[in-house]
Amino acid sequence: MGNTRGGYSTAVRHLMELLGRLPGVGSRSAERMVFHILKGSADDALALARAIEAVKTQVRHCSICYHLTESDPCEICADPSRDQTLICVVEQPKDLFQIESTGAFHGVYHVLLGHLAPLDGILPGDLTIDALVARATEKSPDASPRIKEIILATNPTMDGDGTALYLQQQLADTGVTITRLARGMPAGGQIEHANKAILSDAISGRTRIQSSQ
Amino acid sequence: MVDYSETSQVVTLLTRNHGLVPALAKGVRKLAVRSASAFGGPLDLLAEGDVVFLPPRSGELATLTAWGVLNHQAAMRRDLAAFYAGQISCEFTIALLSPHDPHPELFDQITAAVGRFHTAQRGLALVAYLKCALAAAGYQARLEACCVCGQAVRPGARVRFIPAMGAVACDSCPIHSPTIPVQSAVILALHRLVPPAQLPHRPPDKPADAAALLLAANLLVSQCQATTDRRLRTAGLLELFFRPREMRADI
Repeated sequence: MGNTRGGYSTAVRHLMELLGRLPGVGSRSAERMVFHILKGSADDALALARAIEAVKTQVRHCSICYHLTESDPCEICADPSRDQTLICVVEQPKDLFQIESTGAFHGVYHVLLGHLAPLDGILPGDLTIDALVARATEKSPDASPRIKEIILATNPTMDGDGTALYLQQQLADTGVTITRLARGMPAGGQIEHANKAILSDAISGRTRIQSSQ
Repeated sequence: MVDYSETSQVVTLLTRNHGLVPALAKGVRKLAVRSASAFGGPLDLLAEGDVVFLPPRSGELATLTAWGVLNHQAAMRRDLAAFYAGQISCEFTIALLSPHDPHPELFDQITAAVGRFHTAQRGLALVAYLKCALAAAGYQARLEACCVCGQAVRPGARVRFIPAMGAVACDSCPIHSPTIPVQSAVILALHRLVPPAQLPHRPPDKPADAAALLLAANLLVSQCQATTDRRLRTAGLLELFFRPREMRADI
């Protein structure tokens, strides 16, 4: 018999504690989830348990781009229709999903698995920067650089910008074109209500309007 | 800045009138585009702005209720060395100051130093700020004379710096703490170094010696580490900051 301290059995309390550790899940939400699981069928509960087990045992990082994948290389790296000469560098797999959801990018990716954060003890050796530099220095059979452009899509935070600066320095000798995501006014925004940081970025990052004639 | 939840962070603010203020910033991770929102602009490392917070009822954590960015350090975001200097300055300040202990003069000095981190004065500004921060925390380094015999530090002499005491000693005087041997020229230059706000904005006629600045910065960092009994994670960035051409991935 489990301990019934607080009115819950040991198993229920243990599951509530584990669910409560998930991001955005407090003790009340964890309690609701446990009761939902208890009320549902055993098949549903076991399917959930198996799904959790499957993502932990079958999902790993792609050996080329470090995206989450069940096959190696991942579907994006293995897709011949994608532009393999164009790499978009993101901090986390969730950033890759966001960019993919736009449908605007048809190249391949490189996931850093974080950003430089010296104050938190996260240094270049903790990221996949060496693998990115190795990809950037690969040569085609005719000895020309295989990669033509690398887009640095790290977050526009101080640490994200610092990471981009560090990458720019590490990639400087590769001969690859390095670009950074544009920053400034969002589509649909109004100058009247924009904050100073966004306006200042928009002014310093202004672009020339190409004439159609 | 530490993520607290999907949308909130625990941040450490350096305020002019209240010193270091650890605060919970609810909803700050959802970047506000509108200047009229409670968080008008990025709340980011070394960003300057106007802040409104509720003092903590219990414990140490205040609640941030409004933030308006005045300077999001655009120049620092385009300069790797300035980024390193900013990181070092932040950790140094947090290591030395206690929460809710105001140091308006240090606030002014870090503002002045950060404004120079992307200029030719960056090395001097960083070392000058580290010296100021130690002084503001009550650990002003005693550099003009030997702490044992009282003899003035003479040009050309070889002396030792004592991190645990923030003092210098003659080569021959007995000291029982760990020491760092150093040329007196570095100690005397460090002694004369003015606070960041007094450094001229124009480039110096003669560039400062990067090796001497690195040594001076390392002395101050070693004093900070010995005094606070805490290893600074950003100490390794000093080498990269003062010797950018020797940058390596294994910092």
